[in-house]
Amino acid sequence: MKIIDRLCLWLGYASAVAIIILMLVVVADVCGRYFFNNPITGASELASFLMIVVVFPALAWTALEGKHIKVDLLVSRFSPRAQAILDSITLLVALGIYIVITWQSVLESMSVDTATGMLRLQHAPFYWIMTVSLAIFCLSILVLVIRNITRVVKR
Amino acid sequence: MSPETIGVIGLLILIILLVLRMWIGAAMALVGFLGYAYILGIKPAFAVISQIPFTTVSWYPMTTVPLYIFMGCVLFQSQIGKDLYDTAYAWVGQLRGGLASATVIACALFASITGISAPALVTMGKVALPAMRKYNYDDHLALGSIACAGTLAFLIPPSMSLIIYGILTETSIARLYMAGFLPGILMAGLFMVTIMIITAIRPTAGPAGPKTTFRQKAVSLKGVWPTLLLFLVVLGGIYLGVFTPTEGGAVGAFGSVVITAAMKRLNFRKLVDSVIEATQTTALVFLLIIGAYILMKFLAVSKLTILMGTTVAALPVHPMVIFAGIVVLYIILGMFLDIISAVILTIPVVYPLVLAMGWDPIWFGVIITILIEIGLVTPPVGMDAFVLAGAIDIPIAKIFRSIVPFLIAAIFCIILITIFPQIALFLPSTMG
Repeated sequence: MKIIDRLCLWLGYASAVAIIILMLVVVADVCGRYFFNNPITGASELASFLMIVVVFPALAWTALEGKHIKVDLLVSRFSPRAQAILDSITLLVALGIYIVITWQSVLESMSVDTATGMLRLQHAPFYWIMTVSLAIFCLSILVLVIRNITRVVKR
Repeated sequence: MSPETIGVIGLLILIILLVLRMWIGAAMALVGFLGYAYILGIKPAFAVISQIPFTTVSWYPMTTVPLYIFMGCVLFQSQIGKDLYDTAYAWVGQLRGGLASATVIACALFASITGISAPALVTMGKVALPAMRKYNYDDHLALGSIACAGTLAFLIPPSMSLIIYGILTETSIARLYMAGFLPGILMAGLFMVTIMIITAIRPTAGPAGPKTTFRQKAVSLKGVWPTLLLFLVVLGGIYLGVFTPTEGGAVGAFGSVVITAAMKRLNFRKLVDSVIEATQTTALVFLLIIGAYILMKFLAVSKLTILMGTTVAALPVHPMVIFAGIVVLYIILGMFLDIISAVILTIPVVYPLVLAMGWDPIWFGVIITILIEIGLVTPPVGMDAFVLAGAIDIPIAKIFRSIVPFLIAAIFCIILITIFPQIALFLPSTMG
């Protein structure tokens, strides 16, 4: 579990770095175009692909920190034990859909062989970044389920 | 079963999952996937979920989302909001209710450079509230002005909710920005009128602060220049077409880092904190967005939203009755959701209706932003009220009680914009 925590944290840091790079790429493109009439070739392609690195690696970390948004209308009125049980169930259901999504991404990543128009950036490595990140995201949900179940058993 | 029936069942299941506290993004993805599979078969459904995460996230307009969030986080860390309050305080603090009016002005200024409300709420909770308490302000007036003015961040551009609305409905974000501007100023003005009325009835609620000399006023203006500069660069650049609203996020974020670092308000530690905060917020927003796009695919093939749109539009009632229904719906939703979730969750269902009714999509974007803002500070779980309560350690019920007069002002603002849509639509119409 500790290792997964660590892993998710480092992936989150990777996303954080990607945000900075994304910012610099777009700013350089705007400056180049406006001041020097010389935009960076394929900056928008690069920025779009950087988004994959910005978003997916950070999903697991955000999950472990309990930041993903839910609506708390009813459940917080239940006993802590009932809450833990219910959360485990909804997390397992969520895990189900994300496993299907991950599985489909694996298939897609293996078959994709296209590249972008301007920079000839290969799609495949970015598909794999997404897929591996999604797999770790599933793992992080599993960790959350286990934590909830331990909470139930302890009492 | 007809696809429309499956659509209805799907939405009901979605609501049940949300009430059971499932992650909103996961619930939307699940219902979207299962519903699509039920109508068109499992193979096409697999095709949908294998494509949507990648294509949605790597869609160029999306790049603006993390950068505007990052900009807000940097500005929060740099304490620029405190400067804004100090300036507004020097100018209007000596009036009756002036410290509360200063809060509104500071929030409006802060809103012109941030797209999310939390930075303004937390900053004003820590700066304006102690100042108002020092001068024996009524706590309700103080809290109400902070909680309600904080939500101006979503109306005065740049605005996260208008960005998301623009992306989901493929409406011009530049036009939405310009549309939010005058209503934002109107709202701020109405909040100040509210403060004046309250303090005219009960002068003890907001006594005047100490007098300031003209010199002090002039000197205080130096606290505003970073904000003004950022605002002019970002909004001016977008308005004049130097860069697109998508690129505006990057320019604004970069500008915030440069300006606050030059002011020695941003050290490496604070920069790291802002990026980390921005990273997590981005991740949670995109978990929602991916879910919403999968759900939208399902709703499109169920034809439910189109059916609802045409049915409601054909109802033999005045369009204003339907509009009133939507107003109530959104205020209720805002009570349970944060603004970005509320927009993402409802646009797939409500937007086809807006088109069927022939309403202006830009005008509607402004209206739902105000509506959800209202919900954000109302019970039972108004998100912004909780942010503020958490920041200053005050019982949530007290904040809920404090906002009532300001809500009346916000509703009055909606009525004005409905009667005079030009308030929202004039500035966009001046764009090329």
